[in-house]
Amino acid sequence: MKLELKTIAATKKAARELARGLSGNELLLLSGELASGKTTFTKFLAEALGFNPDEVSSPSFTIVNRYSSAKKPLGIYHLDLYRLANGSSLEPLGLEHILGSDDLVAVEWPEAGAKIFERSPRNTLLLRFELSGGKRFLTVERLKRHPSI
Amino acid sequence: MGYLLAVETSCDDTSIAVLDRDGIVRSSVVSSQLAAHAPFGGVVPEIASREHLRNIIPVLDAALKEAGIDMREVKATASTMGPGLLGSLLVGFSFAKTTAHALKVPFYGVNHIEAHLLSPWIENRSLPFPALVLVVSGGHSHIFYAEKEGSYLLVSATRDDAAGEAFDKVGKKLGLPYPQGPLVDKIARTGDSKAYKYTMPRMKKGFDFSFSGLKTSFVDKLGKSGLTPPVFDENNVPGWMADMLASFEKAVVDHLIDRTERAVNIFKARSLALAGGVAANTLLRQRFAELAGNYRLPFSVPPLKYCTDNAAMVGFSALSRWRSWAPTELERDAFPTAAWKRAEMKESK
Repeated sequence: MKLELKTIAATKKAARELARGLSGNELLLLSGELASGKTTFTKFLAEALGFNPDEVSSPSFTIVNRYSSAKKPLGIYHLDLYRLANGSSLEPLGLEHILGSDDLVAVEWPEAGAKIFERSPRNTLLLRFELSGGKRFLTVERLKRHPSI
Repeated sequence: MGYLLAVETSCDDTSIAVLDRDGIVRSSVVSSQLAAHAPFGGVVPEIASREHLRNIIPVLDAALKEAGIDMREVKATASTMGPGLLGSLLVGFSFAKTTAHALKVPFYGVNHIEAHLLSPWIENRSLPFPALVLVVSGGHSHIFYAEKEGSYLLVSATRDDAAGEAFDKVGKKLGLPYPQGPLVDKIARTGDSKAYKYTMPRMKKGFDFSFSGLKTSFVDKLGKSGLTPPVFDENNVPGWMADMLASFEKAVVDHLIDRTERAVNIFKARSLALAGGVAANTLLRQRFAELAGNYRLPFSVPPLKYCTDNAAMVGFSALSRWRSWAPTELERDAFPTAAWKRAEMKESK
């Protein structure tokens, strides 16, 4: 599925639609260059799922943010591997623990953790954000389904 | 008389400081991990934790030596408890707790942001409260209304990126090496800040920051220019890159100053203060001083060594609790993020 995100309202709508189809324990990989709209999309997604969007900010520095709500049993892990070098060990981040939780996990700049994400049994969606000729595009691709046990 | 041993390992730097009971900094040693991380072009969490483990004892020895004391004279320890990278935090936090336990002295856990917030007072004790404090770094952009020490209301936070993060990211986009912030400052001094126009972020209400629109605009301008950054050479930066960085820097600083000025007009503070790593930025320091001058408010900006992460500010932040003997329980855990009480967002106009 490829969408053009013409306006901020279109981004919000896309996030709402995606949110409707989520069961809450997926792994979302948000890939795309600088300023392509990854954090903004995550903010709208959190809002659509009933979290306070004002708490959502870029985790580039902190690497891991977690959002929770008194009304919700589960939260959202918002990760950003921007500052991490490719191939660096992600063990100290507790990534296995995060992926093993029941929370939704959204990862910006997921490339540095590609191997760990491939191993995760979570339903995984790849969200590719593109900036091209001043236009923004979002492609959503389902990478895997939970193996039926 | 006894000394306080303070430890800071929340991110990339290992730092230990010795303060006396009057809050005079007897030593503050920082071991930067830049050299360890630079080849990777970013922070490697595992390297960060391991570097802290490797550095902490040599840094301790250097701090004690510089202060001219030995461990028996340490009568309290303090450490950052959060926010920060958990794997890094835990090294200094465990070290300071264990030391306190072994020496049978009190331990004080410190909030990293509060330590930055109070850093303008380390060398300027007479700065009056209540104060408005702009705390800006790679990971944080906040304005606090500091009623008095220990009592803070969050006036403003960022909706997306932190100010320092914006500098780092546009710097990286132009091929500048890590860490980009200080280089952006240096290169921007040689550029024309009027070369590219930015529209200020418009927020319907409140005082919050937003830098992602400026960042997007930067990427647009770069794309439209059709120019490609050459392989970075600090001594041979093209004029267009300097212009681009100078214009972007001005936009970020304009936004920081604009928000601070709005807060000055609403919150009746008796002074202004600037803190955090981005407080090292030349243009921001200038403009902040002008703002304080325009409102005839006394202001304080800490020396550069107390802007970037350091243990002296951690010790300073624990000082009043040490004096009143209110230690942190040793069972307490470190925390990766922090929440603040928001100030009422009423704006007359």
